[in-house]
Amino acid sequence: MDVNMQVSLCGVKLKNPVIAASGTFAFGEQHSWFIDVSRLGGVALKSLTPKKRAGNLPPRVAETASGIINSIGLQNPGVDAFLEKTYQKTLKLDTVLIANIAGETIEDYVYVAQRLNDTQISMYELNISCPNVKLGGAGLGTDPALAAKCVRGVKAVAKKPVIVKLTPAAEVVRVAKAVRDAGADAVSLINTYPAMAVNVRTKRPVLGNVTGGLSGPCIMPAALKMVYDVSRAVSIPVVGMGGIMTGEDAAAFMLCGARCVMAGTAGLRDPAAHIRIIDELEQYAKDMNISDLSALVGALEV
Amino acid sequence: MLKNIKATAVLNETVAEGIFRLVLHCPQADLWHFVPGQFAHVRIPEHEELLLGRPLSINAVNIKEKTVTLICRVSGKGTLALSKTQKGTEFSAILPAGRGFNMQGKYKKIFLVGGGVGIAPLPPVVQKWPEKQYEAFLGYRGRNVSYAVDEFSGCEAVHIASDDGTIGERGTVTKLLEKRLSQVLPDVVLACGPAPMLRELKRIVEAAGLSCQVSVEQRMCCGFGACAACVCGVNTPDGRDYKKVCVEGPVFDIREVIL
Repeated sequence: MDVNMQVSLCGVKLKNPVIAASGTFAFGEQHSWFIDVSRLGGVALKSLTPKKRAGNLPPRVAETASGIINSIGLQNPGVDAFLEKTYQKTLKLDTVLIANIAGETIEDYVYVAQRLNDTQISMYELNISCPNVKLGGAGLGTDPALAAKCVRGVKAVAKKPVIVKLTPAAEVVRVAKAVRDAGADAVSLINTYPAMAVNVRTKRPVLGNVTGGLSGPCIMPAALKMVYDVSRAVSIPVVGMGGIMTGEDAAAFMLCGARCVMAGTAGLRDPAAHIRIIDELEQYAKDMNISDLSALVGALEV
Repeated sequence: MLKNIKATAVLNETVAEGIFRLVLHCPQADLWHFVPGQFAHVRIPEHEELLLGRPLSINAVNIKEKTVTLICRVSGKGTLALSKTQKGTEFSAILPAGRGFNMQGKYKKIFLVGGGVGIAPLPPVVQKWPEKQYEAFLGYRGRNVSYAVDEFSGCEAVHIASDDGTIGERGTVTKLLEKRLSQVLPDVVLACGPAPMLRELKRIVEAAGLSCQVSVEQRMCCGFGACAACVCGVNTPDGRDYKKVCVEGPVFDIREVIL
């Protein structure tokens, strides 16, 4: 039996629902050393800000039980350098591109969206949920009114669908409703959990930034519940993520209402993880006699 | 081009207190491309809860046998699990990874400086470029954690220091180096070791006006440049910036890197 893996997100056709999560795939070059990136449903590019950001003081990663804490700090070349040096290469990835936009002020988000409007990037994802920056980031994403204001600002100029990436460190349903009312075309969740690790021998934090964001299988049960709650509260598409390591993990998010899924940490553990997840998801559909994967979305039997 | 390969343990043995040698059979790896100073990014078998690979020093490469020898110090859950793996255990690894020592310069006389587990990546330099003249400077905390001394037999001299004086001279390896530099200057210093050693080394080679390449250590995540976790600070004309240790290093010019 052939499975129709194709899904549609905000009017954009994806080969399958598996997208590389922003910040774990850079701009696609590194993973393409190992895999055929064009097999992915899409790639959410590393966050772009108006100006270059050097990122946070190292160490920037700590491993925990079934998880990792990172504090990269949105290191990126800035949107102008991206357009000049990297954008053309990302087109060769031959998959749907989602530009992840970050900033310190709402004007920053608006500026980056404007700069990318005339590109072949398919969608925007607004990162209002990064735990690793002092200004903007999750500060915007925890306040429904501020989050809505940011979305309205970007929607006023954006020529592409706008996905809003939500933090778990907020009343996520309230924020989801607020950004929907502000015109968001979709929401993606969850970003990492604010977290930290301590070296008790040196009595110092492991991360140079003291705190970071937790990802990986340890957050998946909590992420599933948030995706379940949000997908029942809003009718715009939900992109689910949080610790997806296998095709069956992806299926669980889809059953809970996710139209598409993103995998990040899995692809840092194993550069070929996304391909394996796609293959496993297809095998799962075959096992379950599902001919159209979209039928899985929200099909949880409660 | 980086490759993710499968490998099988053929030997795992303790070489000193808390330090073990892991020999992997890895027919899929492009070992003829190996440059000394490159590392192996090894995932922990049978421990799904430990998500990330560990960057380990490559201490020897045998192209004919298709094996690499890794040296590792037990420093946490992951390296403890690795130290207990049995012969026959299957591994997944990115190997070889990173950029090794650069021998483009016409170096004749080379000083190798290693501290502790940082000594491990230096013997392959002597094997890869045997036509050069070498002196080795090895620093250990003590005899109980010393290893690999005999792997520097291709050097004209091997200078050893230890913190407690149980092997070689009591004191730091950088003191030995400084003393020797007052007698003879090499064309380049290649070094790997803990941050305090590298900082002292930076002061010494800058004072002597020597070129020096250092292999640095950082907590690593993906091992192939996708996440920007394992960065080290570098000096640029525009001020401080970061480079990725896993793909732009681990070997850097000591003038460039902020230690």
